[in-house]
Amino acid sequence: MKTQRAFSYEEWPMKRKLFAYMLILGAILIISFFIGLLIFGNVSTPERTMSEALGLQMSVYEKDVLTHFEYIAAAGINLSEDMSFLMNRFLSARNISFDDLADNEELIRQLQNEMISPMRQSLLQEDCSGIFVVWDTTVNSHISYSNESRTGMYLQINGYETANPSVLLYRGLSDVGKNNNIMPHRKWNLEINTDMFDEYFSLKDSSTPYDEAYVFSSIDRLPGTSESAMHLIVPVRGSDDVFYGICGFEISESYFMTYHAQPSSMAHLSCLLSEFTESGAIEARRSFSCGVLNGYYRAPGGVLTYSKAGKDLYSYKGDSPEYIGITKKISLSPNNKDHLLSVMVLKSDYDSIRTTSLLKNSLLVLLLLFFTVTCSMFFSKRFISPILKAIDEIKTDSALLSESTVPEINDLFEFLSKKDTLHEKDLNALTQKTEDYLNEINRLESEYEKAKAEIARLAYSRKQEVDPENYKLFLEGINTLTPTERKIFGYYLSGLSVKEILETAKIKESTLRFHNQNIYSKLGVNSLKQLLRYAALMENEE
Amino acid sequence: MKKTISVILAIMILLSVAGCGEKETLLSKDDPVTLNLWHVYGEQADSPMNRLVEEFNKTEGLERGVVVKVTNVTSTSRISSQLIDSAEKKPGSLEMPDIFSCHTNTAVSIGADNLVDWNGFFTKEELSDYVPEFISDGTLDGKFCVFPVSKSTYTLYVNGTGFEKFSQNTGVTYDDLATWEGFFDAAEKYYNYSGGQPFCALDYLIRHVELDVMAKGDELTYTEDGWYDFTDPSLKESWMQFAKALVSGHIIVSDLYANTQMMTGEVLAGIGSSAAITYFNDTVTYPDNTTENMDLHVLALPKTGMGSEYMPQTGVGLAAYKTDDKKAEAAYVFIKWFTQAKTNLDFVASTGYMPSNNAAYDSISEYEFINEGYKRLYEAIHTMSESYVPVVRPAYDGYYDKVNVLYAYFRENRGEFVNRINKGESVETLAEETWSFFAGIK
Repeated sequence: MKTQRAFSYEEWPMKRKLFAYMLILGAILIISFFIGLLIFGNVSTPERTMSEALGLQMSVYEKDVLTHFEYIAAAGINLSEDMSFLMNRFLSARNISFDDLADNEELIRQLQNEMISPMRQSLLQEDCSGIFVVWDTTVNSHISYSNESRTGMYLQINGYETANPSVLLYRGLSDVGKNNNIMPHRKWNLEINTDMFDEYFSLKDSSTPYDEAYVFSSIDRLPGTSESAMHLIVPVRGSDDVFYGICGFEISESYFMTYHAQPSSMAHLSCLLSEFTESGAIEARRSFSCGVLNGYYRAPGGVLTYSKAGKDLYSYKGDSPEYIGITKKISLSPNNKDHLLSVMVLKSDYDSIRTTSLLKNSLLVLLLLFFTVTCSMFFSKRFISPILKAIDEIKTDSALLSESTVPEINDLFEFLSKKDTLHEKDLNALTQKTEDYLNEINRLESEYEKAKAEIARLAYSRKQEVDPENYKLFLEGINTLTPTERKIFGYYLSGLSVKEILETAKIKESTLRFHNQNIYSKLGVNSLKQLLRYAALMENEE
Repeated sequence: MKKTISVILAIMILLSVAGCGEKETLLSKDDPVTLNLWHVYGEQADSPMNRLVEEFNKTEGLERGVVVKVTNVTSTSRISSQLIDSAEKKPGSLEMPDIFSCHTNTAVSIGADNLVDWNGFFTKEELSDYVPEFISDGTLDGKFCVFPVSKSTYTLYVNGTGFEKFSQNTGVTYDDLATWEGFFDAAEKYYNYSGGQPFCALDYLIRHVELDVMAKGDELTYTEDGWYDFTDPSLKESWMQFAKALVSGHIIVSDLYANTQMMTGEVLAGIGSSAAITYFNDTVTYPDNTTENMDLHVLALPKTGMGSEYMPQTGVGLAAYKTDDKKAEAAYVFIKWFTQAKTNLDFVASTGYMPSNNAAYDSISEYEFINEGYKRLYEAIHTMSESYVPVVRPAYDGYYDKVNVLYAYFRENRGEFVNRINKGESVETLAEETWSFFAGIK
């Protein structure tokens, strides 16, 4: 029965009710806060945060790459014009045709001597790791591999990341290089194999103007090294549109990694530039990658396949660790198939961010709940305590009422105090009255006792005077009285006068006399005086 | 009660002792530390070091929370100045790497106090796995600063195809190249045979002169400023035999690396670091674009034949720039992995070095090399290890600047010397002239 009462809201104590109200208020505030965040779009999920961060990074990376490749393309077209001019000048100065260069070691040496300085200058000016010019001729057309071997020069920068980079001769006449203080590369070779440029023969046969025919090669391993590179290839044509060869710039894997390292706070960010394939696969060895400045990244290896992993994100799986990121299709040149830019983070990092976010949110909700409950408890207790204390004080002793911190309680105390004073006065008056009444009662009782004693004395004395026989007759006669007579007899006994009996019984005096005679006769008395004497005696005996 | 307390105390002591068994680590798999690495293995070519770093990052590094990032692959001739510039924060210099290849003298310039002392990480038992002489080479002021990853020496490389033809025409054999006397004789014959082509390019001319002095039983003396004592007759005697071959055009000081000049067909042979094996092409390409198979032969250094023979022991070790304890521990993890027997053997066998790990050293003879050239190299190194005394040559401050002046002199005057001889000047006169130049370098 008591438990039922505890769950009945009406029966809840004030403190519990206040706590419940505050708890509800807290819950409403928390829910309103989250609803507000939802409505105003400020709720950030890890996926959304990651997607936004990667999107921002992608825009920076895309701009970097496209700007770089655009500049390189422009520089390549300029180089083509310069080399065409150089060749025309070289040929006209010697009054020879382009075909005369074939199998002529001396002419080729002279040509390379003229080429090397402007090439070195371009190499050091442009944002690239190498420069090449391939002439469509060879120093020895009698050897078995002459169809693929072309004379030319290929210079590379060594230590481009340092303040004092040096230039190396990767392909070309070593003595020409040495005479110009350019040492042969560790993996030097004399001529350039056309296998290095898949587009060589298609450009040779193409009639597209040189400034529209530029193309970026696929990313391939540079012979003899562990370095992969992409080449910008521009055809070099003479004034009579004869195909002189190709020229362009090299962007090596290491150079790309250094040049495009991203300023980002995203740990282990990996950025890729890869060839687009319909199969949705990214081949790491045919991709460039870069990471963040002053950090590290895990360059993907093998083949990555990507698929949707949410609204905006992709999942990249393959031989290397799994990544999460975004991918965008770009075009490096009108003559290239599309390329892909991918900005990715390690899946493990992403999972870690998600877990951390979940923990943080859970902790936040728990903290809010904790503070709501604690504050509700604290404030309800704090608010109710003075009231309860005052009530307790009121219950115990109003005289002990002390100053409360609640003004309303103080007013109540003052009010109660005044009430108490008035009550005390009333009580004193009542007490006095009671005492007076008691005294009067005592006095009356005393007088009554005296009267009773007097009556008894008188009765005794009268009894002594009354004839017992007559008195006996009187007692027996009472039972013979009629109801009316008995009623009138009662009036006499209660001390009413004749006049009072006439008014009370609403009868005439003659009627009373009639009844009196009958009463007297039946009771054996002669007068009202005798009747009252016997009646007093009878009451006294009872 | 007393018994209970004793038991609790005993358990606590046992637990604390058990806890001491494992090293406390500052590394975390979830929060890897990145180490920037500069090294000198495979510049411009295929770098075995980079491949091993990649393997480390995928295995041990991944487990222990260490990522090694190669930020500069350079050469032994350049790394010293690059490191010192970076340590001094010179404008335009790169950021100082966390781990780097360096010679002991470079470590002296950087300062032992700025480098991690490996004694604080490797136990005595662990250090007993390494060749003791290599460890002592890397110790500065009692601090073990330069950890020996590998050591190289000098070997004689010969274009086998070209030598075969030369041999058939002149009767010169590989055995003739076993001594300097036979070497110079062969060089002269090749010069005549080839119509004026030098036989051999030397990368480190001055070291051969030094070793020749020592092999003759003389003590090589240096001046206070770290240069040679030119009043020493034995130095001049050794110098003159090399100088005569040089001014005659029989041999040359290499333009930069002897192996490159062998690949271009300028010389038939070259003497350089055993580590140069990495950079050889399979073919020799001549200016007319004809090629021939290199068929690389590697021979031991020619002997002086007058006493003990000496082989230079060169090569850089790995040092770590002192930054924080976490990076120092990460560097230790990398170096320990990199120098463990198998890794050390894989590394040296693909780079032409001698291993620093004893177990790797013992098993290198059974290793399956990637080609015949590597096999011949290690046979040559083995021959030298058996009968030569390894020596570490000192390099004083400014020493290499003076040596480079000397080498540049020979490169610039290469054709001029031959012209003057052809015009009638004697070889002795020109050799004396080179001695004067050598002695005049300050």
